[in-house]
Amino acid sequence: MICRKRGTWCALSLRATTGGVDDYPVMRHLLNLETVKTYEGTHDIHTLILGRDITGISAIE
Amino acid sequence: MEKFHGVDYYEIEELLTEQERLVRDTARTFVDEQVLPIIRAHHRAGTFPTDLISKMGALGFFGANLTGYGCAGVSNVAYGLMMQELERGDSAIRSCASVQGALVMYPIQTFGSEAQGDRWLPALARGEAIGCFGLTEPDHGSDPAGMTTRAIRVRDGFLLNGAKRWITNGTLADIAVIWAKLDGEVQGFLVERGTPGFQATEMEGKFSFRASVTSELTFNDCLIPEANLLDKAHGLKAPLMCLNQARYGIAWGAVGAAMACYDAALRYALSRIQFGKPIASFQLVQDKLVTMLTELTKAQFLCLRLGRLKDAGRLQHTQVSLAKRNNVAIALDIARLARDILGASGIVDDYPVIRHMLNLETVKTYEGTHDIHTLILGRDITGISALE
Repeated sequence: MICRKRGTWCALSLRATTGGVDDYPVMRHLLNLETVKTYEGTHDIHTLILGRDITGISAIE
Repeated sequence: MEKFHGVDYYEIEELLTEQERLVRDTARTFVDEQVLPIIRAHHRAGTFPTDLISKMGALGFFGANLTGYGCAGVSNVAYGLMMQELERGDSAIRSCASVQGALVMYPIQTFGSEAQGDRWLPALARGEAIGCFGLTEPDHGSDPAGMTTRAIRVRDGFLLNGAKRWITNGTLADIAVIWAKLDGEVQGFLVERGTPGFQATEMEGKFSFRASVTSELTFNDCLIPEANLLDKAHGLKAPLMCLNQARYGIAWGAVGAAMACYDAALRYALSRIQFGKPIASFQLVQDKLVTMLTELTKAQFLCLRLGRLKDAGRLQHTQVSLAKRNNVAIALDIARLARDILGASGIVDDYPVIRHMLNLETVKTYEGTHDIHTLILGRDITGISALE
């Protein structure tokens, strides 16, 4: 399906079970990046900004 | 607490028996009334709601698909629906029941003596005793054959030495099913709470499964009486048979977590107004919701067929691998998409989404990682093992 923050996920996957505890920085970064994806213009809003730019048609309003 | 009405786009309800619906509804009401009101506080505190154990026992949730010894003896589809609902509450609740039924009661019934069954199974079924299962070690996860926990024969039984890690229910357990090598062969031992040299400690720092007890077990010259050997279990096949039972429940449970996330995302998308209209009116949001529902519906059918095959006694362990691998992966994708739709609200625990998303990271990893199931299936269809 949709692949996001691929590097973090792959890292989590490679760490297997230990990925879920804070002995390693991976889970902390994964959680933080959920927020970073949302703030300062969500991922979707940036999609629509770019869509408007390349088509000249706004899907935001 | 509002009653949950399920997600059923393809009228799967019609394919269930009356008993299966009844079991599902019992578990659904239990989750709505007993789990959802308290789970956020436990997730925050990092504690397991131990007072639910006796309630789950009274409702017949432990070892529900087993027969005899006071077990409910329901169909595997009914049992699966139960696991689905419990995980809609939280993966921790489903895991507690999975471990108790599939990883403790099942091996005692399958590999144990009549005396072991008489002593432990009724108490485990009622939730008066709690069990845990120790296969994974600090240095041996996906490769359990490399385990270093050892038993040696002594005059009064066996002497057990070693350590197990990531053990659900570990510090709660009255009885631990521990797998160790005896003369080079994997064997199962019942280790009772209070056995000198046996220690269980709670693991800390989890960002996932926070409402579950996850423990490290250590065995230092533990004397295990001869009567506590599971003497019909020989080799790694025995614990793998147990895992196959648990993975079956996980395939269903993942659907429950996905249902909770889809339901929360749909409600949020319909009520959240931006640019003067519900965000559900935007194509990108509709695409996410439709993708979630499509994957969820496919996973429901996988489970139902899996359960019918199990009830018919024809289930292959590779079919369980396929369902566990797929359903947990799509549940995690659905949880991430739901988190996305909820925007900033997706990162707080006013909604169940972030909790499920975090839990599913663990579910993807335990009971055979996603990648290990890929290789089990790859070996099955090509005849060539990429595991060793």
